[in-house]
Amino acid sequence: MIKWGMTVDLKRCIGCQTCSVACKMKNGTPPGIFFRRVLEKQTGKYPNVKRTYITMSCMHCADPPCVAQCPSGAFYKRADGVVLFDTNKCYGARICRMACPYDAIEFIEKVEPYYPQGFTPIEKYWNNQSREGTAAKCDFCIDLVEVGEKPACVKTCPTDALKFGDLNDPDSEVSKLILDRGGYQLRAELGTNPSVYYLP
Amino acid sequence: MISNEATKRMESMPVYDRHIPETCEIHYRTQTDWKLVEVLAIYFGGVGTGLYILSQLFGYTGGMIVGYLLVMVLKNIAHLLASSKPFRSIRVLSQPRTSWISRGSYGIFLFAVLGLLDIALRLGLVRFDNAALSMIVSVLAGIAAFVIMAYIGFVFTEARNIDFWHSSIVPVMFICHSVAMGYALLIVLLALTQTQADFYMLAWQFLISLAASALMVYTFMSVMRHISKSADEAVRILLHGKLAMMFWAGAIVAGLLVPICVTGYCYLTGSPAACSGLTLSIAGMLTLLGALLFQLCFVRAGVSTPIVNVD
Repeated sequence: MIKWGMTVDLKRCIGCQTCSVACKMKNGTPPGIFFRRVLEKQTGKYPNVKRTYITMSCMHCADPPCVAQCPSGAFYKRADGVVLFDTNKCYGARICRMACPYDAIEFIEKVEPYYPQGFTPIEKYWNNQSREGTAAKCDFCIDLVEVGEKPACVKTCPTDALKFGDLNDPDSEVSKLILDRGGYQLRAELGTNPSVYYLP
Repeated sequence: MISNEATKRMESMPVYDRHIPETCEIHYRTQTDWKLVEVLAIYFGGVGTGLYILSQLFGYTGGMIVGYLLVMVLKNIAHLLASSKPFRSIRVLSQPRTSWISRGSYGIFLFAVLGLLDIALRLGLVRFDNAALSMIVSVLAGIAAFVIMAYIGFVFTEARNIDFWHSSIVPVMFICHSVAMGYALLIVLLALTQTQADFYMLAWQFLISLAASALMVYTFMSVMRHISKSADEAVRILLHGKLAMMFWAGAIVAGLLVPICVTGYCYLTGSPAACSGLTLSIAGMLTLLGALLFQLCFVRAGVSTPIVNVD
């Protein structure tokens, strides 16, 4: 059985936000809504300054708190480990945002155009998906994955920091990277068992 | 090797302050999803169920009706206003196995039927030949009310992103507050309707419920300081930050300390003049206001835990 997962190479990530932009283009998210974002933190004082980049999205946990706590059953988990969200079932309780320890769930309060001239054709297309007033999140670009492609963020990463593959296959690139580089999960102590591993 | 002169020159240069978008910053962030409307839903549920259960115990049907209406009308209206898709709200019953909101909704549906039947039985609008059946309906309505009183605390406990809420003390604290609010509204109603009641005995019980609430708040705040940095940040916001005025003046002094002093004075003097319904109802109204402010502070101080250490 396939279990889709991802690795993030922290040594390769340069914080260029290409993955965030690719994700926005793929999913047509309105202003202020990011399914994937690159967090950054500058620490220390000259000359010992360090800047850390951490690209984040839904972790597609094995034990996802959003699925458990969503009262309307809008979140569900597939057999291949991908946590999906059904917009048509969400009634806007927003408990998912508080249950998710990774801040990965967005709430689309109001859809506004990016440009003062009004909605572009692509924005109009996405507005027809009735996402206003519901939660939304990364779906690992499952429509692309099902036709043998990789998620938009993985495809566009210029430094190859993101890898996508089958975590259950010991010969897959992601499994090897996790093993060789000592990949770790964020906030593993919570027991959610995320499918995204970070390579130090 | 950088020379001392070069180091000095670089240190004298203006600090390079690169703009980081707010969405990409790693810092403590207070939640903005739940606001006043959600707090009102929680508040009306707490005060309504507290009043209903106490009125059941004291056999005060008027209080049961008010408690029932607070839950079934005001709480549910607040929930519908809070929901962005109210027409889909029936879906809230989909996940009782894992979701506390779903479990609480089942409690509300059960309470809607059983509470109404219980009130109808007490008013004599419905009669059962078997007295035991009436008792069973009454007990089940009380249990359903208790589920509504308790579930919201567990909803907060399951919020793993907010350490300040993610504590097993929260449900107990909310139950204590509900009971205190129930006593407060019961006393106010009895005083307003000039119903004959033993206010001396009520003052004693109200005092105990207030003391239990105060103890739970103190325990909760003390524990939260040491749970995690984000929980400590939430405590700081309440004690010294932007919510300090509302928390100290409204929730603690007006909502707990003044009512404790007033009811304590009523109880200790023991005279019917001092222990009047009017005096106690002032304490009751302050408690009701303070509990609302406390719940508002509690919700607004929910600080999400940053994904990595911010320090």
